[in-house]
Amino acid sequence: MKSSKSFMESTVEKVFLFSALLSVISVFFITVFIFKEGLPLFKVVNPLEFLFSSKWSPTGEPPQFGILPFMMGSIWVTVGALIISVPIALAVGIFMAEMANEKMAELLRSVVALLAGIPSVIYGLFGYIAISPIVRRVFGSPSGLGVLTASIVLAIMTLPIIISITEVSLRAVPHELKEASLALGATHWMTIYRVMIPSSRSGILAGIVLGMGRAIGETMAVLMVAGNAVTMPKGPLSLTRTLTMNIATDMKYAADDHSVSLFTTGIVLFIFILGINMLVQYLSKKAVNKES
Amino acid sequence: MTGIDVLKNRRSNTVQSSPQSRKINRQEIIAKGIICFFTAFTIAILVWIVGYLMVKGFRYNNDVSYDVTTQIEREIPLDNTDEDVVFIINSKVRSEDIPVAGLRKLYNKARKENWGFYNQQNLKVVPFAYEGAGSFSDDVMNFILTGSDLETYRKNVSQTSSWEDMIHRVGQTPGALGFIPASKAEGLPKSVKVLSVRRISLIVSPSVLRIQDGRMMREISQADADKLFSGKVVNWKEIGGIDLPVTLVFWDSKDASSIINRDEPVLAKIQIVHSEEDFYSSIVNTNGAVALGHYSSIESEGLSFIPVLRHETGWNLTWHFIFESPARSGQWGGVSYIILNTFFLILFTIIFSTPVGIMAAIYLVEYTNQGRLMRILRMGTETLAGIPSIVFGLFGFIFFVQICGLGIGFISSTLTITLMVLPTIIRSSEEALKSVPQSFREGSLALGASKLQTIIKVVLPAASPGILTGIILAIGRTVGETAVLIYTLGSNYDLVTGPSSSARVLSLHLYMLFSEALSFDRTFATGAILVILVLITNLSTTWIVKGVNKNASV
Repeated sequence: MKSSKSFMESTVEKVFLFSALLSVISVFFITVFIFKEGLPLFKVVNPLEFLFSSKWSPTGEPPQFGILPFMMGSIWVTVGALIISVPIALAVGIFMAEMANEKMAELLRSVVALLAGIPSVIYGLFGYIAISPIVRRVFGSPSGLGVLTASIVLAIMTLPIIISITEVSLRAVPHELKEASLALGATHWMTIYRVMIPSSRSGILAGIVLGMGRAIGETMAVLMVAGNAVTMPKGPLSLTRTLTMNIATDMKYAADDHSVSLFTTGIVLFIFILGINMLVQYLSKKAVNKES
Repeated sequence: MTGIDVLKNRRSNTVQSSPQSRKINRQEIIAKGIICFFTAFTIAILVWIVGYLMVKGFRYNNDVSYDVTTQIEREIPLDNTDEDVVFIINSKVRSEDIPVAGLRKLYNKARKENWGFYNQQNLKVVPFAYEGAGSFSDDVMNFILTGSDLETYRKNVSQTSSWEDMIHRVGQTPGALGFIPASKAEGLPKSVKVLSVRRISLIVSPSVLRIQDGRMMREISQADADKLFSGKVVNWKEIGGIDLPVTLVFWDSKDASSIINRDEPVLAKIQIVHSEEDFYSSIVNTNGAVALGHYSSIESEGLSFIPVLRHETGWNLTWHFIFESPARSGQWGGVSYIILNTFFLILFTIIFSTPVGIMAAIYLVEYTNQGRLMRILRMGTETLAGIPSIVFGLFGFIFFVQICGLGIGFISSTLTITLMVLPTIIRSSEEALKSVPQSFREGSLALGASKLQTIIKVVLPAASPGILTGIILAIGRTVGETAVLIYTLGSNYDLVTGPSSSARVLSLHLYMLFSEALSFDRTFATGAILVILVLITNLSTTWIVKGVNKNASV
């Protein structure tokens, strides 16, 4: 009786273990299959040419696979998004952690949760209909689409992540530090600026990097507002195509090497994201270490 | 006493006068002002996005270009008969009026006509006719048949035996269209209503439509058209045209009287003609001439006209939109199937992902100590959470669709999304399990329960609100996900019928409508439904968390 019970216990534990392993297995499978599908491209194209040529004409004769414009596009919109969102997000995070009363912070938390919950197609639609006319009028670009509009939309989308992580990291700053600073005669702002932000720097940075990950990986919203031009972005108003857009757009009709090249684009994107993930994990570990 | 209170006390007790402290003070005020501004800005952005989507989603507000003006005619005089004709439709048809060209098409287009072309309602047009009323019937037929052939007309229409029969059958048949003499139009049954006709066009001399300095009169708003015929516009350039004086042409003084008898001075030139030939020739030959004429004369006389913009506004997200099935790539009908597909996708994703996610969380919290395995598992979850949805889409496409041979369809997309939402469920279940006090477990174990019993009977119930929050978050994510679905779910807008049937969900439908530029109104209506769903999921998570806090405090 007892042995059958422990047998069941151990079986169930194995089932639990398997479930827990499923995400690791999925990551493994995803990695393997993306690489397996994407790497054969390098039999046709030199990896350096793939990464650093700016000519993309997969259906041309001979076909050319250079994804530099798309990498630059991804970088442009991501950097643009962070330039806009980081100051705002830091401000809101500071407000929630330091200046708001509990009710206000609660309200802001719901605002942030809602911003995070709005689907990316809605952001894309909103960017296309509401933001691009503003960009067109203010900056005089012909369509109003492009790097800047995509950056604005992505900035709104990355706000929630950065805000919530900033708030959490600021709240995690030990009370003694803050009180010591105030006791020394520093004003509240000086305390925030000179004591609290530096001591929660790793956490905040982790949040920013996470936001960066979301911006690079975002597909639908940029697909709807970035203009989707296969050329090197020249400035904030030029139309562009990002790595994710390249996959989403060309997948519709790609065949043979072209289809393979999209998986290769996926590899590049995947490596970007893995790098960002590692950075996040390193930074949050640092934040946790500091705390203890 | 918190640090801020200390600060406040200190402040009030000190007299601040030195320039340096004033400078610091100013800095503080500026910094906090900026922070408050950005916070308000963030709230404003959210309100803007949600409000914009709601307004645009619920109301449509468009200027639609028509060949005819907005003037409607309920009763249409016929050429040879004294009695007027009235067109009637089944009350289920959501149209009130129609341009005369449309009316003619409804009767004699070779392909079966659909009301969708006029009001986005997916309903076949069933035209009725009655040829037993002598010259009246002939006259109506002449009116309908201008420029089209009798054969298609005869093939399309169903004949009725009398006017009463016509009214009865139009009332019985959805999408029916018929005509009756004006004298019979009194006291129509509720199932039948009158379809007014718009047939007045803005006829102009070809000179008005010339291109000059890159400007050209393409269309005109109804307000401008009214202004034109009140005689207040002297030159076409006042209403967006080229530099050309306006001449109003009227058939006879009776037509012109509406203007001439007014008290206000008429500034535009007026020309009154007395015969049909004069009317047309003076329009063509006078530079800048404009007149109101029947649409049919444009075709028969080869005249130029300016399309008129009609301002149309009304409810966009209606019950019809929610409960009707989509047709013609979503241009007609509603989104009922698409909403159902969305619920099926959510349901199956949750069925697949919840058990696995909870079991994984239980293993992570209850079975592993800090160690290498734990680190690997945690890293796997973190990495999975960070993978962009388009990469999931690629993986789903190559693995589930091609290698597993499941094809583009419901099951492939459900499995792919399951992998996507797994980290969300694992994480929140983990948090929920961790927040269950250790004493619960110890108490249960001390009573002789096994570890598994403790988990199932004690820990899981205590953690259930948190786990539920995770599931709702996963639902929110499933509702909004699009990129992963494009190449795993396909684009069929019918109801899912089986595991391998291609389908659309709301987010995907929104994107398809957007990218095919079919209708912004419908895109926004779909968007509004999406936003409402997201609001509901968000509110319910807040509600659950609040309930838990309340329970905890009791």
